[in-house]
Amino acid sequence: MRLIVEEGYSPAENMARDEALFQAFRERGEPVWRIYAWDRPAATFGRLQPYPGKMRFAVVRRLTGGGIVPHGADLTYCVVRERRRGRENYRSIIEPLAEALRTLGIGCEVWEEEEKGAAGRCFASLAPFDIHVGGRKLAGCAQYRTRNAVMHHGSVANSVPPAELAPLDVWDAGSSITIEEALNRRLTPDDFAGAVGQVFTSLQTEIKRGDMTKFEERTADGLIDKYSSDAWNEKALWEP
Amino acid sequence: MVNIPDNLSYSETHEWLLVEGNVATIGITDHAQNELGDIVYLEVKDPGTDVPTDGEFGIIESVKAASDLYLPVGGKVTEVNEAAVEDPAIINKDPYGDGWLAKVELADPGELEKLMDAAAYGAFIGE
Repeated sequence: MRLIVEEGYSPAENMARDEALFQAFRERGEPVWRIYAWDRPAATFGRLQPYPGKMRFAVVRRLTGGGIVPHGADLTYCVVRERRRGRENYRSIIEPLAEALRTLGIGCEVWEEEEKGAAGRCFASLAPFDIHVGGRKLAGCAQYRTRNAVMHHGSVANSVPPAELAPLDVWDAGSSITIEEALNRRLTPDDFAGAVGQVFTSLQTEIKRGDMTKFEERTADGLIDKYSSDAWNEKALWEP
Repeated sequence: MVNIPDNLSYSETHEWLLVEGNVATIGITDHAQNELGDIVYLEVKDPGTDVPTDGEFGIIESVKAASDLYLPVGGKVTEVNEAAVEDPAIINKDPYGDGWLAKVELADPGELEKLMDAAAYGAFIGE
């Protein structure tokens, strides 16, 4: 399994890079974890969710399901790998992720109960396989599943979302918690990746740091326009 | 215990088909809706769209997972269940009845032979 850590890409570039990894997985079968930060505040929303409307920041449709997610103060990750049966698709990613956060000193658990809170607003609700601290949400996730492959997107709240994302109304301080609140410091993508790598190593899963291949980079470059386009973001039923 | 009606044909990607003449009604199985959880969105390709064998004919989304829907036999979409698009929860409530997804005019009815019957599908999902 390859572990990629990146910073400094735009919203459309981040989604394009994740899709490029997913395409490469479907062709070549190498699982990847990509952990990243954003070069500006932005929001993403679920594959079939209604378009939330134009904002003063980028609002980009994901390939994965789920609700609206604020980015810019979070640690985002994308996993591409083989499809498994039912809930194992989530459990096999979320349990190592929660363990990684615990090794960093955060007393978190995986939410196993039914959804509660405001559905469609990621950090204002708790759904199965979210990660929480005492019932306050720390990390959310969503997936896209094809016949044999899964793309998994997740967001871990590092600090409170940037003020300019307030119009989204997706952050509820009472029902959410950040790493900064839990640890009195923020984590870098590198800190987070180090902990994830340690957990997989302890599980006897080979994981090594790497970059995107030239093939994946070229694929991503070809997808940036899609994630910048109104055709995809406003109504993306099928590939534009 | 999931419901697997005897009168339907089943695919490995958990769709069911009810064939009448040259037209198949298609939906997802009780097992599939149970694994997906609460279904919140459904999109099916427009009537008139040709879908190749094993091609995607739609996307279904539960609370946290969007999944492609596959047509195990090639054909043309002739009708979409707009009631299920409007209220996808009916797919959870009645996957073999009101929660059907689409009707498809089959390109080659001979392809139906590769589908599973209820007993084979039950074994496939470990029931």
